[in-house]
Amino acid sequence: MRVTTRLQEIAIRIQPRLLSFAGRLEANPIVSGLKQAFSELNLLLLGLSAILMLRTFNQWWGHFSGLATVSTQAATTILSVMSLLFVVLLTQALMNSRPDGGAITVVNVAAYAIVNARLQQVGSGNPFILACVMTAVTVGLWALLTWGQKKLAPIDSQLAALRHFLAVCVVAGYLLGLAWMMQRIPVIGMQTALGWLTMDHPFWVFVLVFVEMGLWYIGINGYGVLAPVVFLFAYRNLTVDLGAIASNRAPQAILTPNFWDYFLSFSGAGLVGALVILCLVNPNPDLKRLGRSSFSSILFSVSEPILYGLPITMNPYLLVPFLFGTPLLGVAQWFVFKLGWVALPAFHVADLPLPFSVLLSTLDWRSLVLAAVTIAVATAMYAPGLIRWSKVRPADTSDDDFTDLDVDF
Amino acid sequence: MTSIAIGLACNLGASTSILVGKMKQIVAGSQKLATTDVRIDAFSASCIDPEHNPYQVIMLAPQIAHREAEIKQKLATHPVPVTVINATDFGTMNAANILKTALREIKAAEAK
Repeated sequence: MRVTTRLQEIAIRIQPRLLSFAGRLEANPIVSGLKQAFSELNLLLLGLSAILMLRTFNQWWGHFSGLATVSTQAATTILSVMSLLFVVLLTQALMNSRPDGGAITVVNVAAYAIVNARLQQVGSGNPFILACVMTAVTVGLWALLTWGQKKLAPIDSQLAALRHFLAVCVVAGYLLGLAWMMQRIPVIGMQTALGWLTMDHPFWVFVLVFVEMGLWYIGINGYGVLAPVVFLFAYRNLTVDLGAIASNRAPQAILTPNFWDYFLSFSGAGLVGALVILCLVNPNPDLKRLGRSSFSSILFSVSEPILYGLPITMNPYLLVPFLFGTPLLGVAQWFVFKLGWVALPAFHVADLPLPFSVLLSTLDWRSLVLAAVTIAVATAMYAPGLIRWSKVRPADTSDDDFTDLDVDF
Repeated sequence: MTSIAIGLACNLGASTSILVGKMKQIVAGSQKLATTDVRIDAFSASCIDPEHNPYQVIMLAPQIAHREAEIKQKLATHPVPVTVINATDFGTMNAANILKTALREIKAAEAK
């Protein structure tokens, strides 16, 4: 209990600073650009997953002989341009409809292609991180070169021609410089250094869930804050898995967006479905009502009603299981996949409700068993804290301080 | 017929979309709002477009309260009230209280 009190004190102390930091982070153009680019890429990944699911179903039951070849061709083609599409989407998001947006996007795609071609010679790497770095460099350079340009307008035609000539020189110099640099940088050393950065490791799974729960605990959408960075790794892992399926190999990467959404956050961040179950069977009428009203949301992995209604945020009674228990369960799930007890969640099925999301992302009935066991363990984990909280929780009151309004509800 | 437009924003528009349904139920059951065209939408906070904002008030879910300053800044050229939904009302999905808060914000903005 002393540990809980100490942790609660820390949470209260850092909450204002973290709120301010998270606000600044989410307002950052690169972070918001990443979020937008991944969101726009999602549709293509869903389509690609659907193609590969059809291919798998056909392998199981069907006899459409041509489907395997066609789907493999389609999938490999889409995967080969995936990172280029991401570069385009990210540059567009960062340029935010500026007049030079199209031209800068084209230059950035060329710059990315030059660097990626060299990196591909020595290994796979992470194209999403490379895309992010190259876009930051290219757009940053553009911002530097056009600094204060508005003050020069309007310019006459001769100056415009000169400016155009200078721009051509800058672009040619930039691309040539990149090519020259890539010939000289020890790429193999760089690959070795960055090779371990896949996040597909129990340590990173623990850190990811722990930080996410920490942010949720102080009232910040942890998923929203972490997603742009984590997606750089999770989407890379997803495309590697989809590539493996397309070429009849077994997928290897566990930490994909599906693993985060439907296993680490089964029924919502913090495995809150367990708390909904506990509320439903609790004798406290307020908790029972809360359990009923939150039930439909957990089917879509939406945790906010129970997080704020119970509440879990800043609630010392649930701090330890929420902050430490959830990451440990996440690590346990990672090992279940690693040991091959359940097929990997390699198919992207964003936004499907439970239990279809769990089942279709793995195409393995054992994933349902894993989900059931996880929620059962989480229920046992949360039970002592919730029982103690239900005894001291203040009753829900509806203070009507809206008497100034002429309403009938 | 008067009209009211309320925007509810969260990270992806998922949790606020649950609230929209409940708020619309309250509106449908209200006789005093029977002659008012009430529009309530849920969306991702990233989709807020200051140039084409049809809403008289934008209410942020508590999990994105830290983005209040950013969103107010974004809407600075076309200001509308931006408020954070009370966490308890949001958690218990108290749609009536949230609707009343929205109406009060709109009334206060009109009075200015």
